[in-house]
Parts: sequence; structure tokens; C-alpha cells
Amino acid sequence: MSLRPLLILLLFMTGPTQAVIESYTFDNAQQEQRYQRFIAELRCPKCQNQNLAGSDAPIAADLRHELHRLLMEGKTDAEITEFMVARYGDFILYRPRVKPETIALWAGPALMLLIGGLWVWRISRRSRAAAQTPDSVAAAAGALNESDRDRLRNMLDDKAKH
Amino acid sequence: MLQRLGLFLPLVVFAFLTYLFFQVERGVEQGAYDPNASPSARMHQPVPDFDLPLVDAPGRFSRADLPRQIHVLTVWATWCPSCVYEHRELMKLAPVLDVPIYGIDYKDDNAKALAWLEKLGNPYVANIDDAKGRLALDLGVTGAPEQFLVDAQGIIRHHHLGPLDAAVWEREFAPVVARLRGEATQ
Repeated sequence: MSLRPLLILLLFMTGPTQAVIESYTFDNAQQEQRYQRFIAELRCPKCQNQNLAGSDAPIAADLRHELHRLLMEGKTDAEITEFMVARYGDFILYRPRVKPETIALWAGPALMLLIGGLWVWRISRRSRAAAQTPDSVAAAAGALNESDRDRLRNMLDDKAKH
Repeated sequence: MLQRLGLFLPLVVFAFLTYLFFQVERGVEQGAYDPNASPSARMHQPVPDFDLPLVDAPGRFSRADLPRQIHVLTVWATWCPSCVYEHRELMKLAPVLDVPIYGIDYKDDNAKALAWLEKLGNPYVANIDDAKGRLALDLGVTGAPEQFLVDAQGIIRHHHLGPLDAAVWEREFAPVVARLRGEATQ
């Protein structure tokens, strides 16, 4: 019984852990970091919804090998991206580059947020206006007069007796 | 009243999305839209430079050795299941096509490839041994089998993923060949 919270906690601790076991050596930690970032952000051309890090397709292994080679040759990030795109197109990038074809991808979410925000703002303004109406209606109609109040009190008292 | 109509807006959006979904679904069924298709980055670009050994002959083969006419480069391997099917189709196609077929043996064991050609026949004009897969990678190959239609100037004019057979030839390759020949005679 007391294990349950622990088990639930464990459930949240499992991340998406898929990785292939390969050993590449690097000159420094920064190089390795760049390698890890690239294999996380490059898409496997064969198995379309996996990144290079998680794919064991032969082509993914080749691309990791090429990536390692390019890194060791001292290529810059931009040069490596260019190398990949020249062969496999923008398709290979999980983080698409900003250009006319991809502007909807980049600007879309912000635009949606703006539209949604405007909508919520309009609704909240309208409901605030509505919230003020009952008071003014009541004021215009005049509050209950003395005899109304007596009748109401009698009704409530009757109910309480039964 | 107009505000009441506004309540139907989500329904209208839903109906539109449903329509969109079924349009795409129909496109997939009719083959007009392929969700797995990836645009080839090497289209209308020259075949990348290479210099590799041949599978079944001594000597090497480089880009300069490719013919000055329309030809097909097909990426195959003995470990690839649908290459068995493609090979059988190529044995039928090669004698009747007026376009030579060149093989790129992709990440394969040379002994196995030789045994395969010995046993099943050889539809290829030449067979390039891309043991490390470097040429395939430069071509933007995602696996095997895949084919490239290359024109007389060495420019890639079509890239097909999956086995090549008579139906694929008629549907995808023949029109491009006809267009290229039409342009050449003008």
C-alpha cells in the first residue's frame, strides 16, 4: 500500500529513453555535446518519426558515422546542417529553418496565441459588462418595497413551520 | 440572433476539419498524395562524384564512366528483401528497355553479391560496389531498393523509392524519358 506513491512517482520518472549503443570518441566534451544535439535534432530519413539517436536503420548509422566524421574534421554546425540538407532535404531537420516555405510553422503558433488571446479578452470584457447589468436593472426597477418584504418574510416563515 | 449563430462556429470548424481529413484520406487512397513520400534533395542535380570498385569485374568505376545517355542507377543489396522482387523484374525489363541499368550494390558483402548474380542472373551493365554506403549517402538514399534516372548530362531526373518493376517504369520513368528525349531532339 505504501508502495503506491512511489510507483506513481516512478511512472513520471521514465523519460523517452531510446538510444542505440555505439561508441564514438571525441576530443572534448563540447564536441560530444554537439554530436548529441545533432542526433537528437536530425530525423532518420528511413523511419520517418524517429531521430538519428533513436533509429537503428542502416542509413541512420551511416549518418551518425558521417556526423562524427564531420565533427572531427572541425566542420561548423552550419556546414554540417548544409551537408545533411544537400542530401536529404529540409525533411531531415526536426527544427526547420526559417524561410518562406516554413514561415507558417514558425509564425503559426504565435498567431494562434494572439487570436486566442483576443478572443478570451473579448469574452471576459463582455461578461464583465453583463455582470454589471443585474444591479442596474434592479436599481432601475426599484428595490422591493416594505409590503413586498413582509409578504416574503411570511412565506418563508410558513415554509419553516411545515 | 447573430450571436446565437456564432455558437455554431465550432461545429463549422469541425465540419471543415472533417472535410479536410477525408480529402487527404481520399488522396492517399488514390495515390495522389503519399504521406511517406520525401522530396528528393538531389533532383535536377548532377550525380555526386565517386570512385569505387566494381562488384563483378576488376578495376574501378567513377562518375566519368557513366554513359553519355539516359540511364538508371539502382541501389540494391542481397540483404534487402524487396530487392529479390526487383531483381526478378529487372531480368525481364533489362532486355526490352532501351535504357541501360547500372547497379549500386549498397553496404553488401561482395561474396554474397557475386553468388546472387551467379545464381539469379545479371541485368546490370555494370555493378558498383558501394560497400561503405558513401555513394548512396551522397545520393540521398534512404534504403534499398531505390532508383535514379540520370540523363545524358549526368543530371538526376527522377528518384524512386521502392522496387522498380514494369508498372513503376510505365508510370514514373517512361514519361520522364520521353520528355527528355523530346527536349533532346528539339
